Amino acid sequence: MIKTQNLSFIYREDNGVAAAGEEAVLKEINLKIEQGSFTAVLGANGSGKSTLAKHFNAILLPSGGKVYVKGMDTSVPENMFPIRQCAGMVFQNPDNQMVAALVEDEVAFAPENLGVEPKEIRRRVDECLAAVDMTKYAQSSPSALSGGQKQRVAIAAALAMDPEILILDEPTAMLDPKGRKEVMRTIKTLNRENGITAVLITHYMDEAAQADRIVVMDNGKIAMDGKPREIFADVEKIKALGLDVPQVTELAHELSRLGIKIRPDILNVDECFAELTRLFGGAAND
Amino acid sequence: MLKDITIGKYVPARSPLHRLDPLVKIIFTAFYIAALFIINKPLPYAVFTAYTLIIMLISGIPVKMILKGARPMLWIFIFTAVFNVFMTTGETLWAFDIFSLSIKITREGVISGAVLTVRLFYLVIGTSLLTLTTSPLDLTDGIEKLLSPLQKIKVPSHEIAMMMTIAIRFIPTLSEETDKIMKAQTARGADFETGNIIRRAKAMLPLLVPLFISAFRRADDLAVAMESRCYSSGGKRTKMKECRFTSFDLRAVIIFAAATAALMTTQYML
Repeated sequence: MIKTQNLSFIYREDNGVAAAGEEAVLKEINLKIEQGSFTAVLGANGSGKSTLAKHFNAILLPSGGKVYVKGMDTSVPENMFPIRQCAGMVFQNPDNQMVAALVEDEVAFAPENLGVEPKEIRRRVDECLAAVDMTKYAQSSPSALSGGQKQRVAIAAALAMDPEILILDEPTAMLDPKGRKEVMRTIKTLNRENGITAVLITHYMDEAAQADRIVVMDNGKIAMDGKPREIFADVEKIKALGLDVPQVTELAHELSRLGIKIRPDILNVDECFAELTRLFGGAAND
Repeated sequence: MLKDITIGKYVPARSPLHRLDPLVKIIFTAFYIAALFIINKPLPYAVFTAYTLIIMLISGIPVKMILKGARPMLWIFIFTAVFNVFMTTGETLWAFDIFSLSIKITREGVISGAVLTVRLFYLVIGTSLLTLTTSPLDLTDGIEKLLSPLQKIKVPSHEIAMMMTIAIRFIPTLSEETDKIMKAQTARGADFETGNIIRRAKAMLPLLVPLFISAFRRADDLAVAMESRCYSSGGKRTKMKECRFTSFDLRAVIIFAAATAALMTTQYML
């Protein structure tokens, strides 16, 4: 679905040569994202994960190498609109990405830009608001909504282009725990039920643990790439990259270091509970 | 304080004013303002006040909220009134000396001060009624249609309209942000409340710097978000809600024309 070939990127450059004092933000990245997958991109601040995301819908163009979205080269100007239509993007700050003062107008903005027929726009707006469970707020002003609701509207606004890929650049960073849960549930539903390929940039480990695959970025390079269980099993390496593992994974890791025979690849509270109950046998009931 | 600004804020409701075609509404507002500056006799002013009251009542927006919009303008009203009272020459009502300056208050000054203040007040009420009852996207639509004849001489009517909508959309966001920065600086000992005007203006300077920086950052974010959704200035767009001139608009135009004619009759005939 998305393929990068030796992708490099420098913010200030001149014919591929970095300006004085500038370092490449992305260095020789080769990545392939499969159709229908749910990939999380993790990384410390400044690791280049947002910059990478902006290459997936031709907001940024590579300084070196190529990016292909559904086989279309992002560096070809004619491909820009088809690529952006195919890869919808949701950003961190819910207030800064809203154009309209009414929820349904916000969702209608993208198809209006694409020149879709008015009746079809209406149909898409209703469908997309239903997909993120925001139908009853269609006539509200975005400023009256909670952060989680605003981000769900932003997701609906991207979906209205009828994209196959949804790129989410830290969509939960400015939300409270309730809003984060709402947004994560929406993303997972869209991925599983509507077959949308999801790429989630995040620095929350518990969110990344819900993906099918995790790509860890460090200093402009891919440091780790694999299934959440494989990635988080290597607690030492994750910590060396300036990241954390989910709390329950860390608990299991600490316990196994103390010589207790516990599975090291625990990802969520339910698994942790099951494992601890097994370890302590019936003792927990006494 | 800054949250009280109602200019640029849209209040959704079901009212005849909300239903009106935005282009028609903009033209009505222009006529309203023109009429306001044409009339200069007590009777037309009374009729004009009655019209304004009727429009306020059918707008479906609480009268208190509309009036609140005029409150930040209070100082401008006072300033205008005072200037006119002291600066207009004419029949002297009262004269006195301060610091060897002879100051005269004239009859004409009092009248022109009062008239200008009333005009300014209605101007604010009239324009805020337009933005209160028209969603910014509708407003863009109206402005775009209004300017579209100018497209032939290469005036970018759509871009102008889009810029205005975004500016309006960000007024509440930026005023909230100003409040936040003010509170943060007050917490660290900044003083915006006391001192003379110059001192207070100076205190505002450290407020403007972070506000501008954040506004530029927001603009950058918004531009990227718009581009991500395939916005391009030259592209041909469609509209979900096509504004069509309906029989409802036609009736409104007829009523408005009749009202304007009645107003002008009171001005010139009676």
